[in-house]
This record gives sequence, C-alpha cells and structure tokens, in this order.
Amino acid sequence: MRGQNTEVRSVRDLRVGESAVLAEPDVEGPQRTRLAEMGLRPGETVTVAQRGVGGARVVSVHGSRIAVDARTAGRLRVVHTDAGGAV
Amino acid sequence: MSASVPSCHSDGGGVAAPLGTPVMALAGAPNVGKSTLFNRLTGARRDVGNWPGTTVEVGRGLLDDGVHRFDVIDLPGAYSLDPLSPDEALTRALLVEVPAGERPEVVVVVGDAGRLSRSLYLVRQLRETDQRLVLALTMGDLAERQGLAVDTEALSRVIGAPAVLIDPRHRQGRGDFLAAVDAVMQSPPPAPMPAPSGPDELAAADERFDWIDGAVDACVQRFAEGRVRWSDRFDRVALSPVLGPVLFLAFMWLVFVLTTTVAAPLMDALDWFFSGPVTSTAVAILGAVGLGDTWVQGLVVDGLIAGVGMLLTFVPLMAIMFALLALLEDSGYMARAAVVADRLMRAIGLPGRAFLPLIVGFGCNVPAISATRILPNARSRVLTALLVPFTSCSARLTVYVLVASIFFPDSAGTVVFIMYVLSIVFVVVVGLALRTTLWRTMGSEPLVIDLPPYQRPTVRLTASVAWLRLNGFLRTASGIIVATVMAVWFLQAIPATPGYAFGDVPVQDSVYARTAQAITPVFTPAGFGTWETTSALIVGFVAKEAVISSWAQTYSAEEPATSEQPGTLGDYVKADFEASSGGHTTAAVWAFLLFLLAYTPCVATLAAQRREIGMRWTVFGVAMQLSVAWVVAVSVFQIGSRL
Repeated sequence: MRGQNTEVRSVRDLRVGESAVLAEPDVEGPQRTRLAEMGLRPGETVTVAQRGVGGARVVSVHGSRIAVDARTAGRLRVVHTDAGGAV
Repeated sequence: MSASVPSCHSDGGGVAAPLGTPVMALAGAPNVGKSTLFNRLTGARRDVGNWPGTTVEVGRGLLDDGVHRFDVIDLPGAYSLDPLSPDEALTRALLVEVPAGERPEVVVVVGDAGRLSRSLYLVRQLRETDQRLVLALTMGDLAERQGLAVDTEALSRVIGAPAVLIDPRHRQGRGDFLAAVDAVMQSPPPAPMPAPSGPDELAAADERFDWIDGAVDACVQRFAEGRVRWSDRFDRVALSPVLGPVLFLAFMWLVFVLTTTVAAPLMDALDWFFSGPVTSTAVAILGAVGLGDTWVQGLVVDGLIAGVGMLLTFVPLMAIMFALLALLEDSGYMARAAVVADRLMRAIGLPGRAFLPLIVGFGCNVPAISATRILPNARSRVLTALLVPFTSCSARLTVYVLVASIFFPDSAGTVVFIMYVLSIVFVVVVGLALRTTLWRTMGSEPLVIDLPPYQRPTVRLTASVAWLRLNGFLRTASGIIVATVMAVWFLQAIPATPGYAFGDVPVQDSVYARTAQAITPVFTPAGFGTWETTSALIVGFVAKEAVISSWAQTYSAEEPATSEQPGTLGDYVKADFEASSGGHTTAAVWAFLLFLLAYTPCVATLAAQRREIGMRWTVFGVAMQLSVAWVVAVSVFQIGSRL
C-alpha cells in the first residue's frame, strides 16, 4: 500500500483523502509567494480532496479549497504523510 | 492624489468627482466583494461576480452622502504589492510607485472574513508605508456558516489600523465602515511597521507570513467545523475527469444555444422593425416634406436607420450572453470551468477560462470578445480577443451555405462542416504562432484557483451586471458601427461617372464600385478577382450577412432590363468564378471560402475589440487577419489550380 512512510514527494503523489505537510515548493520566487498567499506555505497541512480533469488536484488547506493543475501539484513538495482518512 | 488623477481611466460606471475631492482606493484580492462594496458606496454599478478576477479594470465613482465625500477607485484584484500580472502591476503603480502627493488619501483593503489570511499580506505591505488604511471585512455571514468568528477589535490592534465588518451584499455595516474611515482621516498618517529584516525577498515574505499566522491565531476563532458540504459534493461531479468535461460542455452548449437560438427571433423582429415600420415611416415623413427619393432619404434610410438598426439587433444577443456569463460567475461555476478547460487551452498558451469566449464566438464574435473580460490577465485577454474572430460565427454560415449549395450541391453539408473544422485549425495555428512569436515571454501560468462555495445567484446582481456590460458595449460600439454603415452608403451615393446626381447612381457607377475595381487585382492570384466579389467582400467587412445581399444587389443592377430570362444569383456567381479562376473553379471557391472565414468578421467585432483591447491591438488584429486570409487564399488557389 502506498502512502504511509513511503517515498511521497509531492501533492501529486498523494491519494485522495491523504494529508501531508508542505515543504519548500519547487517554483520561482514570485510563484512561491503567490502559492503562499493562497495558503500553500511550507509547514501547512494539506489534504487532497479530489483529483480533477487533466490530473488537477483539489486540496483543502485551512478550510478553503484550492484547485491546482497537475504540474503545479507536482511542484508542491511534501515532507510527511499520514494514512489519511475522510476529507 | 486628487480627483483629477489621470493615471486611471473612468469607465463611465460612476459619477465624476469634483477637483480636490479626497481619493479612497479599494484594494484587495480577487473575489472578496470589492466591486460590490464599490457599488454600495457610490451607487454606481460595476462588474461583480463570485469568481476570482472579475474586476479587471479600474473604475471610479463618487461617494457623497452629504457628510462624506470621496472619489472612490475600484482597483484590480491583487493579493499583494508584488505584481504577477499586469492587473496587479497597475494596483502597485497606483498605490506605491506614484509620488507621495499623488497617492490615495485612504486605502481600503477589502478582505474575506472567512479567509482572513489572504488579505493580510497586502495589509502588512501597506502598513510598512505611512498609508492611511482601513481593513473592510466582507462575507461575515459565509464565515459564520463555516464556523469562523473574527474579533475585529483585536485585529485592529494587531494591524494598527481599523478593521470593520461590512456586508455590502445585504447592505449592512456601512455606518461602522464610514466611521472608521472618518477616524483614520482625522488622525495623522500611521507610523510605518518595520520592514522585514530578512536577507532576500523570500525571507521577507516568510517574515510577513509569520506575522499573518500570529494575527489569524489571535483574532479568528473557530467555533464549529463547517464546510458547505453539498458544494463539495457537487464539485465531485463538476471537476471529475469524466463527468466534469461532460457537464462543462453541456453548460457551454447551453450558453451557445441560448445566445443564438433565443436571440434569433428577437433579432429578426428588430430587423423587421427597422427595415419595415421605421423605414416606411421615415420615407413617408421625408416624402411629406418634399425630400422623398432624394439623397437625404438615402442618408436617413440606408445610412442612419440601417446603422442604428444593425447596432440594436445585437442587443438581445448581447443581453442574453451577458446575463448567462453573470450567472456562471456569480454562482461560482466559472472557477470550476477554468479548471476543467485548463489543460486543453494551455496547449495554445491560454488559461482554461478562455474556452468560453472561443465557444461563444461560434455564435457571434461580438459578445465573445466582450466575454474576454472574464480573463484576469491582460495578455490572455488580448490573445483571446485576437483569436475570437477566427471562430466561424453564424453570419458566415449563411454565406458558406449559399456558396456550397451553388458549387457543391451534393455535398453542401460536408463543406460547411469542413469550414467549422478549419475554423478550429485557424484558432490553434494562429494561437500557436502568436504564442511562439509575440508572446514568447508568456509562460504557461500555473493554475492555482480558489474554489469558493457555490451560491445562489441573485437576480438583481445578474441583471445589473448584464445591463452594465450591455450599456458599455452600446456606448463604445454605436459610433463605429453607425459611422461605417454611413460611410459605405456615402461611397455608394457618390457617382464616379458623369450624368448621375449624388445619391441617385447605380452601384456599379459609384465611387464604391470604382474602389472595389481598384482593389480587385489583389484577389486575382486567389482566383476570385472580380469587382462583384471584391465589393461583396468589402461590404462583408461591415457585416457578413451583407455579402449575399451585396451580390444580389450588384448582379440585379448589372442585369440588362431587357433580359428575357434573368439568371439566378447562383448562375451569375458561378459564371464569375469560372471566368476569374481560368477554369479552376473549385480551387477559387475554396480560396474564397477560406478568405471569408479568416478576414475581419464585421465592424461590430472591431468595436468590441477596441473596447476590450484598445485601438492598437485592434488595428494589429485587422492587419493580421487580412494577411492570414490573403496568404491562405492565394496558397489554396495556387496549389489547388495546379493539381
């Protein structure tokens, strides 16, 4: 089973319902600030609520839901996962 | 800053403030109710909608309730003063980069009470200056439904500026808000907070975010676990890899069908009204005052009434289109549509939400270009508005049908279908070409978008947004449409050969026909270089519907009065194409169809482009389309005639 204590590297690798803590994202400075402004900051816990069209991910963070495209999801690195439960 | 600041334009949405009136700038992230607050304060109406990025231009209005008097500016949405888009750059320019004396007297940062942290980065950056500031928190009711309560007194202390709750959607909190504005206006400018001491921008940003975390922890209380569950459940369908696109296409189809089929009878009725009762009344009145059958009648009937009539026939189409757009925005679905179409549109360098204008373009290019204002990024708007004219509108369909049934009577349907496929090919190829040349610097923007809970759209909001946009279109488009229709009439009225009076000349002897004859050699290498076809294409510049009537008018005027067996329009067109193409009729017809597809759709499109992307880009678009159309037409004929 994937997920627990395995090599999960980015939000893209998380399963629906799985939570993780964000690490430093693999993006340029201004985009990093934009992600942070949307609440996607290193240290925040995010939960993947849904997979969408074209590999997009809907993530829950601090009670709001944010859609990110597949590529950006792949750049949102995570440092820790748990098995996750219901969203 | 005074009320005469030239740095941002008025869109006519508000009332001009007298010189010297203090300026109140409304700033904040997209989708926080900034425009609704603007409307509430000024009584003027502006675009508002539950979708990130609705406010894409600067609007102004006057707040004057007898006690308070402010020139209110509604700035484009901005999360911070670090601009990532031209809209944010404008906000930064107006708040920070102008000389101190020209800055607004007070900045109101509008924030969503349910997402306080999103607003505080901008608050913090502004508090690092001595700018007078008020934080106005909207959507307190939604926050409460999500189980959140904001302690505004504590927040005011933390940010060093008044924080108040205001609900412009339900008209509450205006008194508290204005009292807070009064208080900061009567106080000296606040002492700036210390700027972050970190070694670089990243460290500075982190310091600000830490401050924000502290402020949120101190001032926001979560009293219940709340999310709008049904909204999340609907998203499982709306964003699903399989059902999401199906739902999206269904909505797009509905928008397309409603704008074209519902508007069609209304457009026909208006057309009948202007060409029937209005025209006959005008003719009767002019006859009664002795001006019947004179150039004055031509000017009034063929110029003025035809021009105004054409403009007004667009009204039902635009009204329905704008109302549907407002519904999609206000309900929250537009944010989901952006996610669904993102991958597809990204291929040609456009964000997902650009799909909608392009789909609408297949009905009519005019509302489609107006719909580009749903795009938050100015460069995406320009690129989309330049591509929309390549979507084959329904007016072009009438010409395809006629030409196809003349030349390919057994496969007319297939020919029309191929034209639509080619239209998509044009959009993709020209999009890629522009992206790899002019817009090389435009990176593929990552999609990071808030999904606000769905909400029931309000009739008042939908109607006021639709009316505002329609009004804006009519104000901008009326001049160019009426002027062009009258210019064509004028050229048709001036005789080019002696013996005719002004306004009483057969079309083939008018300056108009001479102009068409002069241009005709341009089309010779494309196989359709006859002045009759050239003149139809010139009229088609005004409106594609007029191509057929121009052919009909020209060929009937040419026809000898003694002719015993008048031919059909089809016979004339066929004979002309056979002659001009040197026998390679099929190649010439395809060249003509492709030229018709690719060149400027109509003057109303140009009027809409001028409004949305400015004169410079509109002129560029015309030149680009004519070049693409000509090169493609010539290539098709030259290759086709050698096969």
